[in-house]
Amino acid sequence: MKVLIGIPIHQTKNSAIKKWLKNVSKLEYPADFLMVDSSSGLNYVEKVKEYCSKNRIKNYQIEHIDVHQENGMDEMIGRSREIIRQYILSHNYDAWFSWECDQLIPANALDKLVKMMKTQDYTIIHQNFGVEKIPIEFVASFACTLIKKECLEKFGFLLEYPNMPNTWHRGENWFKNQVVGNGGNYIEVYGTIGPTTSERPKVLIGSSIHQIKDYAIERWLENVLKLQYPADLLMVDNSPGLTFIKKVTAYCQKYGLKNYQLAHIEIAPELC
Amino acid sequence: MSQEVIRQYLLSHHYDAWFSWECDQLVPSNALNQLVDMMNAGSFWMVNHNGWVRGHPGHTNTDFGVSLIKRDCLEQYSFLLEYGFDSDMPDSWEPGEVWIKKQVLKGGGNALEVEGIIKSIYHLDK
Repeated sequence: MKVLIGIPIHQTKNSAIKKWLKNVSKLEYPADFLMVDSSSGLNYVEKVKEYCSKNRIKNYQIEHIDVHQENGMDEMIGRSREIIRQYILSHNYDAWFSWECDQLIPANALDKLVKMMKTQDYTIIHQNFGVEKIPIEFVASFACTLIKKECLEKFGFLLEYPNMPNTWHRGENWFKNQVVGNGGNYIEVYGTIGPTTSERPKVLIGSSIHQIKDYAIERWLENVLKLQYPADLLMVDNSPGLTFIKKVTAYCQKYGLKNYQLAHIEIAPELC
Repeated sequence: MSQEVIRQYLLSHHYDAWFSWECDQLVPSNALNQLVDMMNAGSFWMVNHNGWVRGHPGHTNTDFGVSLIKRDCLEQYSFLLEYGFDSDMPDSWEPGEVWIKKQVLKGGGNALEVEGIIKSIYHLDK
């Protein structure tokens, strides 16, 4: 089966892409590789070429499309996928391996997907890794998915095509529905390929608190709320007694903080 | 002792990293993203972002005020003096953070010490 690994990339995923390209270089199944970059300007294309060179990736193509950056990631991905689709159709590939550039997979992952596809002549196979941080939650993405050429001959990714939804959001859902609704089939697998590693570590904010810092704690909790990175919060109070912990609980309620834990330890005064 | 409680919680709840953040330091909303990016960039075990000592803006603070620490460090090293099976374990709570950093480096890990990347960190004095 002649497979194209076709991936939309963007500069905002830079730290993931560096590791991911190393992962690409180790993939065992022989496949060609196309990246479509929708970053602002051409600088990122040059950067990715350097990464490829460092990882000794030679068999690749990289294309760039200009998309108005403020239109959002869904449009960038949709338009990049259409380039990949056209490339597959015009170069006679049998299937498209869609693989998100922040997912690390085992070296034999594509071999497994190809084998599965052949066993029952499936049209789409999606290895479901779940939502980030919630692995048991179903997600209809193309994060690690093998898609037969036949699907791509019938359905595209541009909103300009007839019978398309009027939003770029959830393009994968629409695509899958079309495939299944038109006599294709689709298999969702869990745990067959693994383990996978998402680039974002699960972080705990762990902070010691004490009543002597009462002057700062309200402002700090407000600051915690504004943090962009998703993380849980554990505060360990070592003030004497439980008065301060009650006060902090009240602050958390006041600022609507939900994702937190409070613990208290009592330390003998002579040790402080 | 509080850091040891955090360490145990982190290990038993399968976190990948600990964001050690003192409750009198204010950071920009993208501070943790920046630390994660730095950690990923060099597979660092520890990224310590230095700030300044409260009330003394010219004096660099190298403790765990704003630091991201990988789980691997916490699996190997702890904060309790009672775990002093290493002969170098200090007999005082005071230099605990320095001791951990040294152990990480000695054990083959790596650490990144940065200053001025996260703009700005405010160490509240009042």
